[in-house]
Amino acid sequence: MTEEKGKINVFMVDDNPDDIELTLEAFRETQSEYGFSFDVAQDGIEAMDYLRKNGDFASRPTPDIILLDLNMPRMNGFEVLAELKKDPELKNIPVVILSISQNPDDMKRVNELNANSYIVKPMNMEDYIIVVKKLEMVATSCFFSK
Amino acid sequence: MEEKPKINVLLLESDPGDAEVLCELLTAANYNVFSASEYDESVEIIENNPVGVVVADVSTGSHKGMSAVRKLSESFNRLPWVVLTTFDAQEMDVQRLRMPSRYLLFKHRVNEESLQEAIMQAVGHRDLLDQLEHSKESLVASENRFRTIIERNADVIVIFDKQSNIRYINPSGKFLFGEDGGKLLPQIREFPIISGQGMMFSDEDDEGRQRHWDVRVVVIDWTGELCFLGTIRDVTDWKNAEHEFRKAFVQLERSNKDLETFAYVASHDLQEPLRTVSSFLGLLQRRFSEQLNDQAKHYISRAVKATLRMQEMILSLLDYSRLTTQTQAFKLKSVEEALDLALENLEGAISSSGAVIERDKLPDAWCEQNQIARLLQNLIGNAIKFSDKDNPRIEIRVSKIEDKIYRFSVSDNGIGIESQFIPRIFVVFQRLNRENYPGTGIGLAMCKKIVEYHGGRIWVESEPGKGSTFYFTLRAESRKGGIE
Repeated sequence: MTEEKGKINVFMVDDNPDDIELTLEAFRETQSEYGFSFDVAQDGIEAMDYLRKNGDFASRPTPDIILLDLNMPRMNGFEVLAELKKDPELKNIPVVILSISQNPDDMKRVNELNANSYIVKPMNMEDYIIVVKKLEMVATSCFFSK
Repeated sequence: MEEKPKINVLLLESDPGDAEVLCELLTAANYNVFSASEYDESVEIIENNPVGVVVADVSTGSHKGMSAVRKLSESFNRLPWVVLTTFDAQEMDVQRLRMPSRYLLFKHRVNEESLQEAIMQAVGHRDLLDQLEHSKESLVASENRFRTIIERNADVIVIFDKQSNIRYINPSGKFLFGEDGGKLLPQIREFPIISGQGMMFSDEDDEGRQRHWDVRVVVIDWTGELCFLGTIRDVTDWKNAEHEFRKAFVQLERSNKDLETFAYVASHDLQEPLRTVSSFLGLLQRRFSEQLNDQAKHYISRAVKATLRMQEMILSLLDYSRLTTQTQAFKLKSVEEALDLALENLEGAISSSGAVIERDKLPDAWCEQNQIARLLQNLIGNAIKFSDKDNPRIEIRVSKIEDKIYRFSVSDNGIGIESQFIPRIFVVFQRLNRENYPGTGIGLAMCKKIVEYHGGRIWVESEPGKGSTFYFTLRAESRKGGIE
């Protein structure tokens, strides 16, 4: 997929294939007027490689929005977030934490690391679609500032 | 005058004439007289009669008289003697006889009075000696009793001076701390030297096993010197038991904590696949609605309902496990305020059921207010749910049942609970009326957990068809007393 104007480039970092599929389906359900691309990394290290366009990822688009899970192998969401927000090239991409954790400590920590938003993974499809619509709004609002 | 019992007198007189005179004098003086002229006869009389005094004549000069008296006094030296002599030289001989109570009387001075006086003196002396002996015996007996208390005491009793030298140690002490109490010496310097004070110390026995001791000290006067009396008790078993108890307690605490953590993590992780199931079912409904017949749609909606229900249960289980892991400190707080909060949260349920709420003014109690609000909310919510459908009425009451304990109650006029089900109602996920009343079955378990966490008790009294009253107790102040 190449970077196309007017398309939302979504990058999801999550080790749970079910969640990836559900999120992808939710994006399909919203039938956004913009259309979207959807790329995935299954852990933090892969995510950083993708974002820094290392090796095979050289031709991947810069995402309009990053959906980041917290609990992942190798490099977890907190570490990815810290790394991202330190990187001048990447720090302006909106990062939405998408996690099952409702632990206030997690939310606080993520906020301190300058995540743009925190969303608890929805419990059913209806909620999922509502969440994704919001994500699209976040992503497209950046569009216009580009 | 009082009639005194007659005293039996053994008269030892070898001269028959003198014997007759003396016998007359003694009889006149109101004595019972047994006459004997020599040793064997005297012995026979003494052995067969309760003789109170011996009157013996050694004045005849014959060796026979003197030797009979000597022999007799050796055999019966406890008897009082009146010895009749004629001259001083004989007195010297008599002095050598072993007669503790004797009275010497010169024969030429014998008359009724002097004889009576002599007998009284001898008998009186004997009585005095008896008394002395008796009190000596009871003194010894008493000392023996005290000695027994000290020496047979299982506790170690030790007396030490200001320089920590051991002045006395009882046999228990010798057995446990060595013959001279030497093994006690390193400790004794640390002993308190104020009356009534105590301490604990530990050492090892000969096999290297650790022993624990409790010592109490009092200041004493030890034959004029200031010393210290220590009582040392073996508290090894007690100490070990205490240690075991502590260990078990810590283990229990840890396993409770583990259990809570487990419940939290488990319920957290259980949500994950459930989300997936319910979301994919949702996707199925959305995407394939047109291809599915009513039967298939019905199955899907049944499955969705089940996932929703399980979600509710998991969330309430999460709540339940969080109850004691995420908690504020106890304070003296208004239960009235907690009730206000609970009723506020139940506003919807109260207005839709039309329930009438009767409430006492509730006092302050030693509690975590949010938890008590939660407790009241669960109990009142429960009461609304099971109240009389047409005329629901709920009463919240309080009374002081002990000095520092309040008993609160929440009553309804609903369906009540049959007594055989009562033991089950506080157990997690136990539901009695699944068909007609919604719920996750965790509310009352949560109530029990909250009350027990506060060190209180919760129970229910119920009559089927008439209603139920749930009671719980809270402390009016902290366990230590005061309001901190």
